[in-house]
Amino acid sequence: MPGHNVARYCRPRDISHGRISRDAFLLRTGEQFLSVNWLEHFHESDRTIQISGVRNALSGKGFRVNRHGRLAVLNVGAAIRRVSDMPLRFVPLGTPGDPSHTGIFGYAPGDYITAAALAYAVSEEHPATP
Amino acid sequence: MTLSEIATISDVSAYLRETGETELADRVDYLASDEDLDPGDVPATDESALGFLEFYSGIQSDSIVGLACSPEGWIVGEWQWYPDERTLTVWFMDAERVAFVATNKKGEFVARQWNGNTTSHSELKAVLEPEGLFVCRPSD
Repeated sequence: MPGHNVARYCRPRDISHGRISRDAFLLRTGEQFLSVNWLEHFHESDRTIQISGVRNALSGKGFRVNRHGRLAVLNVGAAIRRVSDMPLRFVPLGTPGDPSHTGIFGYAPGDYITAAALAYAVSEEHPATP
Repeated sequence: MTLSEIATISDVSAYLRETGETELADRVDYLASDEDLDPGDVPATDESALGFLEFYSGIQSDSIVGLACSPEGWIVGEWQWYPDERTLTVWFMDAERVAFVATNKKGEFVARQWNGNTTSHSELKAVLEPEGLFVCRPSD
């Protein structure tokens, strides 16, 4: 899925001067992957439908989406190229409640450089709520 | 108020406000509050704010600083508005320990050996000042 895209929910506290902090892509202790949502699950190319799908998926599974939060879009191929020295894998983890759920595997908690590289790969941002 | 009298995140905010850093003080107040906290997250801690202020007041940089806050309550300083490819992000874990990631003018990561490890303010300054990310102010 190198041409595909994923979205990462970013907390309001990770947004400063309109920019998403690298902290939003850092794995916390005990986490094995970064949770994202696969956009093309919802539509092949229409970004409005894709983002709406992610919002519905997050709220549908009880995730508290803050109205000041953002959805950061990463292109899978660009992210893998940006993190060239780590074998990142985008693994579908879909469940009936959230079939677009995807995990970014291949880096560890405390890997600040990979978190920064993922932040560099953000191509778009959207409000987390309509 | 002097730097040596500062003990809490409220003091940090008050000091920033006194020194004309109103926007930064407002941001510290926000990060210290319960506003927009996600479940399980904690507000920015006193120790983290003390660490940030000590570092921030000891350097001069040609980037503005933005502040974020990790779920653990660590203030995250973001210097990402340089006129070139330099960037610096510092996680202030307490008054002494930091983690960081930085890029130089070419956009290359510097000091990769610290990835995943913490270090001290003095080590951080010693490593990153030569990379041109900031200039250390003379200590009193």
